[in-house]
Amino acid sequence: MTPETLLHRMVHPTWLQNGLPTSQTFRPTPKDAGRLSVYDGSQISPRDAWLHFIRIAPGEHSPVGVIAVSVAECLHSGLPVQPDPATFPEHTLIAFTGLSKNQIRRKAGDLTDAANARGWQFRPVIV
Amino acid sequence: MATPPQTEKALHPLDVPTRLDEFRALRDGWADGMQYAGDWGNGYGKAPSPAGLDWLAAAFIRHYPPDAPLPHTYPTPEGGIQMEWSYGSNAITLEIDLATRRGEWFWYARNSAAEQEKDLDLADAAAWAWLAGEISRMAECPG
Repeated sequence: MTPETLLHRMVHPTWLQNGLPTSQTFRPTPKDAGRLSVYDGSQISPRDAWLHFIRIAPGEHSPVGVIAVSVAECLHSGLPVQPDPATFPEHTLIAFTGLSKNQIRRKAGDLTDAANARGWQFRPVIV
Repeated sequence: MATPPQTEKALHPLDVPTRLDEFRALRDGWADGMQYAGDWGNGYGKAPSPAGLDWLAAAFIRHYPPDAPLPHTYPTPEGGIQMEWSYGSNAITLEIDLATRRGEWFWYARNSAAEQEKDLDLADAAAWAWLAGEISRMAECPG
């Protein structure tokens, strides 16, 4: 993993309106203990990350696509990036630990801005 | 000359009551997969209550001026609603608790450390007036 490595994040269908994903996409909840799950783009493509996700996270709603932030963007926002291969090999955490609610809101907003500026990494074609 | 057929006025793509209606289809567990991956498959995401959605749609129609800038509107895993506005360096979120009818306003400037938090009683028309005033001001001078 290098500073340029992209970290892939799934976008829930209800978290997209008029083409714009919500900042919640990059915000862990208190239940997550500050851990935001992403895929290490140096190990898996956005498309394969999406396929992996729909295989092992059997939710009712398939993600409408994949967006990404770089490791450097996380570090610039003061958010450490930690590989977590015990969960699955490509699993990586963006650590929002020890931050206030407003700091989390702001940093999640920063990451969402960066991801939205980069654009979609993968969108499934549903026919 | 024949009168042109009357057509319904097109809804704005960010129309809030229409968007809230979409969330009535959500069931508990709707956000599974958005949480920490070690918990995937265990259910995550509380569905917003129909009564809460009714209240918010009515309050928005009644109190939010029709010419004020519309938000992007999303459900939260806690069973609430989050509205978001973005104008230049201004980023604004309003997290709404449908049970208490209160909202947490959070504004920050993307280009500085400036930020503001405010608790709003959204059962009170004055809170909506304040909200619309702030949003309109930022939309006019995005910074």
